[in-house]
Amino acid sequence: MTRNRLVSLAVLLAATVAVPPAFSEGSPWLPAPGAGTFSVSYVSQEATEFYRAAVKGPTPAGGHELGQETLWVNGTYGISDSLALDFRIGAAESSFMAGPSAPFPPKENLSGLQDVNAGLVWRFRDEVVSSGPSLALRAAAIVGGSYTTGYISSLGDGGDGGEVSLLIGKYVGERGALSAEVGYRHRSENIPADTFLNLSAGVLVGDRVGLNLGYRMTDAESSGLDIGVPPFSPARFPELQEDIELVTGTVSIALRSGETPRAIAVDSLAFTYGSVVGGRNTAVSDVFSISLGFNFDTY
Amino acid sequence: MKRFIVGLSVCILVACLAQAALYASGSISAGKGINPRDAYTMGKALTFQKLVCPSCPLEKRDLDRDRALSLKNSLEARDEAVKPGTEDDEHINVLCPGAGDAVCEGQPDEQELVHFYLTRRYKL
Repeated sequence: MTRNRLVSLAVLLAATVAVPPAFSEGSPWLPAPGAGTFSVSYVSQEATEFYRAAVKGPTPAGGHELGQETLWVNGTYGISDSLALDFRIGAAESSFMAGPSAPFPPKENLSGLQDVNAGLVWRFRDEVVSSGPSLALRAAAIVGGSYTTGYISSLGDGGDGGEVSLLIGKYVGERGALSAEVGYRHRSENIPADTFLNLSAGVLVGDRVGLNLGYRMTDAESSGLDIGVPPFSPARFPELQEDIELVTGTVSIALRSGETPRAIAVDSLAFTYGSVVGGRNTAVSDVFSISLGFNFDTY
Repeated sequence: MKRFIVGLSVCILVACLAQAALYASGSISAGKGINPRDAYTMGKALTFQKLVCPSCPLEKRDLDRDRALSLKNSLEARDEAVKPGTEDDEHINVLCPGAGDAVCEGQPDEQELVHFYLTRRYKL
């Protein structure tokens, strides 16, 4: 394989095996200065089981389905060779049809804007020009969404805050890529601080299809509060120690190739399936998403 | 909520169509169908693999904004009869298509990709 071919594949990897946008905070692979990407993702999740403290069991009122649908819009913009902005906004609607006899007050069709997450990524080491992995630091602000908290079907915890993380990325061989993110998140409203870890491994199949396996872990600081254990009350849902481990698999397809004319400039298409494999005070959700990726250039 | 999602979807569709118009106008300078991130990353990799490295025509300390401008001028004049007259006129030939090298047949236009990288990196 020629060096040029290597370069082409390495670049394609970034588009096809990077962490799916609906499931990531930041990326060590930055857009070109003056250019960027945005993606639109529809995410559907549902659960009939949840972790009450660390014990898995049916959702309240005998395993009624707890569901949520979210439309996410993610974007990145390259400020310079080593600096980029990113953001994530979304709107969601949840459902929980347990009836008034449920131990936690159900509220059908809760909806609203999701938490906004906007960050700045500084890449201080680039594997393209040096040996070893790409390394970057990300700092982001979080603005709580417009939803109501205090219900088992609430869209989130509702606090404002910030997070910092270290991003690591490395192309492996001619067709593989690994990335990791480890970070710390702090929010208001007595929400326990989180330590989070995102791992991703991807491989290119053929010239256009990427397969990605992801693992996300969020470990909240202990608040001494668990579902159903005094002094818990529904109003204190945001204060729970909510841990979660999520495994995802993604198939990505790069749609822009060579000089093929296309009417709509969709650059990538990704399908993700995920499942919660561990946690504490969280729903055991199955997750499905479809994402459309686009490029833009302001230069 | 549904109205919000429909509204957001309409905005996204409009943005997509605007994107299509943008690409149709030929605003991408580094080859049709190559997105900016790919072109930039490929150009950067080629720059530091073939043009600026210990065994390359230039060393890393040589590459500053002035040198990038000189390289840009040589790259833009590659098909012209009159060159800028700097040593970079020769240096850029390590990049395909070089001086019409047979080994470059079927390869990407590396000079165009490096031009894309230098232009963006140094805001030339």
